[in-house]
Amino acid sequence: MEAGDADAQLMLRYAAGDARAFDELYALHRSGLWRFIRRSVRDAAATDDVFQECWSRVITNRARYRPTARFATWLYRIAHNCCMDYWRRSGRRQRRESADDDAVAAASDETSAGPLDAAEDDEDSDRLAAALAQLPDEQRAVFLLYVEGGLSVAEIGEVTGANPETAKSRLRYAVARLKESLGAVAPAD
Amino acid sequence: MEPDHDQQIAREPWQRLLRERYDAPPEVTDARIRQAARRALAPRPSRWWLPASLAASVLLAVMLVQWQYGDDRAPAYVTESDVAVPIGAAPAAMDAGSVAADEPATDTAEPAGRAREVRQAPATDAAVAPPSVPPPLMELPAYDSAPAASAERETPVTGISAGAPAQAVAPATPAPTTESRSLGKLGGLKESAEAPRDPEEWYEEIEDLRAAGRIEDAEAELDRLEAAWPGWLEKNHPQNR
Repeated sequence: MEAGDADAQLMLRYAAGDARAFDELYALHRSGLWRFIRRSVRDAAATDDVFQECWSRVITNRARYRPTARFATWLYRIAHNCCMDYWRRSGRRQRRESADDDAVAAASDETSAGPLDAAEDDEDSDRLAAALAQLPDEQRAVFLLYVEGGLSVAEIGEVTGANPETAKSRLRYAVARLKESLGAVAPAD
Repeated sequence: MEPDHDQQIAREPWQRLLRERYDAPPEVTDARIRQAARRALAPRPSRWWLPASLAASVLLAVMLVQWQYGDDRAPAYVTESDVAVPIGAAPAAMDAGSVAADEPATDTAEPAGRAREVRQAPATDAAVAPPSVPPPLMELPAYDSAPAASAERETPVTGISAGAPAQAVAPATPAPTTESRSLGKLGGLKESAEAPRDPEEWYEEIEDLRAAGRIEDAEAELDRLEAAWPGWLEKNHPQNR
């Protein structure tokens, strides 16, 4: 555990019976985790199920939590496992959805998309979503863990069960392919 | 702290791009998760009924076993005659060949299986023993015929009835009551082992002892005579009592 990992302290407080600690923890991670899952499973309805399943596991395993690593690493490992379970269940492990399908799904997502939001920024976001959908699952998972989860390469290796070099390689490939897909829209390093 | 190679890919621009959509879960989901977190912390009601029902089941099983097998281990009711014959006298009686008269005496010393066997086969016993003669060898005074009849009533296994004299259980010399004498004729019981002496001869011997100056011996013999033939002395030689 890193010194001063406030998330780990909150988790320990929750495990000890402090419900407010969970509220704080949830508020800190809900958006990032939601986006990670949403991008990973690429299905609005399934995202909700997987998201709830993930937090349900956090709640169930609260007594077993040991702050040996950052809380985010533990949380995203659970989320990654939930996504893997979802892929296995739905048989989508190796399936590649088309960018059009993902763009349609993104446009129909009711959570934030309004008529006024369908502007240029959303176009860029949709293009990124479509580019992400083109990535292999492993590369996409590594990229999302890096960007949304804020995990280091070593932590990503720990979460995905790959060694750090493999995780690093996947991350580089993912970024390269996204840049290629996005063209000029892609962020510069 | 992140390694150097992590710094080669900047997160911020990608995060900005990603966060333009799919910002947050629906509020319903938020509420559901927070509720689940609180519910998990709520103390569960103690399952007091689980150990209670387990204890009740065990108790019931023990009671059932005791009721079933405790009944077989020893007969619930025995007659006084079951304990009238000393255990040491039983082998002699068995040698005499009387099955019917012998069984109650051996029951007190034998295990449950034997007791059950005896109770379950009353017809067989009745066929061996004459129906008009009660089987036990109850030692009671001859003049006490009414209590002797009532002594055949059933008493709990724990022992002899409170009214029965202690000496009736195992007297030094058995009194030749009508019952025991009739049994003796039938099966040769007792007479073969310890034949009672004739009281008249006995009394003459006592008189001889007195004449010889052995007063204490005479008194002791007198007591034995009284015990063996209750009432005889009082009837025939009242001056001695």
